Amino acid sequence: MKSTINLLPKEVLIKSDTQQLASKLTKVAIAITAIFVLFVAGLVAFMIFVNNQLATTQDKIAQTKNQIRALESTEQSMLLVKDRVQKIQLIQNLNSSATQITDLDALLTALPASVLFQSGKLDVDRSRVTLKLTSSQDLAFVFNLVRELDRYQTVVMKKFDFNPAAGYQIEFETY
Amino acid sequence: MKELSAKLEVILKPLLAIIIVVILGAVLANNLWARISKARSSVTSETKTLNLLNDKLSLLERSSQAQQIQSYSSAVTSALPLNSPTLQLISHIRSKELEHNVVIESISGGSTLTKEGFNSVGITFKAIGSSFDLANFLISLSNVSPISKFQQISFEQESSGQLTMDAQIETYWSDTPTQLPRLDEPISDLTDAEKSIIDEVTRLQKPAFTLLQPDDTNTPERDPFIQI
Repeated sequence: MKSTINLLPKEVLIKSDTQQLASKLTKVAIAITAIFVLFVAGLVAFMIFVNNQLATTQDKIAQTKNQIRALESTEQSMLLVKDRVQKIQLIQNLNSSATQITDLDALLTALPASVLFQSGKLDVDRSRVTLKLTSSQDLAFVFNLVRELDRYQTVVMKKFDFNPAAGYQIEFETY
Repeated sequence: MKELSAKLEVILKPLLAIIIVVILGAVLANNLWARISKARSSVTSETKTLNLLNDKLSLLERSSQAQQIQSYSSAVTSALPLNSPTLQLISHIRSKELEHNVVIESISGGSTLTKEGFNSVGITFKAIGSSFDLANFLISLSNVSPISKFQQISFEQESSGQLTMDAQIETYWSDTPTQLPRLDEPISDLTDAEKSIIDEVTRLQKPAFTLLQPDDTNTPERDPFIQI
């Protein structure tokens, strides 16, 4: 039979349940320390991995920047093209009398030889044309022509003269 | 009393150890996690930069290989030059004069105006011809490079039956961009609208210039310091 010998004085003796609790707490402390060490090791490993990733990315960035620097002339040309195109677009949007020129050309091409183009003034938003006609048939023809050309939003008759010797003189403004 | 303090001592030791390990763990883990978060956000932002640079590089490589950008550059620089294109426009006016059978009586240049990012100069000229020739002359001048725009035009019938025309045409130029964007700043490819503008200006008639080459047939000049 197993017998225990305890030579400590009775008052120093600790009851076995307290001892058990202390032993359990010690085990818990060891377990927590072990978990903590593992956790920190994991975090350190992860940090090394992320730092490596960062260094690799920074290396690639440096390489790519060098490659881009080597193509600087292409980049300059590209910027120049974009800059020019943007400004050309601005200029194209400016008003000009180009429409009035083509409209006048269409009118003059369609006029019969008996109708004389006497004077004209083309502006960016309007044009004024003076014609000299010899007969009322020409007059009717010109009125029809201006309508049929379908190039003008508004046509305003500014002047209408008739002289039996010289014929008709009309001046109209188109918008 | 002694018994109680002995009991507490026995329990307190491991308990203190647990508390110290937990506090230490929390502080250390928090510190490490903060560093990891910072490094991860750096990786994310650097990856974005890398992607942007890769996109820029592939665009530049494509443009460089296609060699199209050089022809685009020459077309748009001809349409909107870096210096005043007065002479080019006058050259066009003179060549169109012969082509369309009109007579230019006078040409004069105006002062330079600066608008939103570009400069303009007005050229005024007087021409004589038939109405048909003058109209064709004006239309042909609308399709030349450098780009120009007609402002005011007036026609007057002469006693000879010919028309006298006074026209004002404006032509434009602009300085080059002064600086390149930062290396990690993105650049975009030309859009369809931009390409269509380039196509449009490529079709414009460029001024004719004669390039004088050195005459190789001449014998080289004798060196005056060599005694024959």
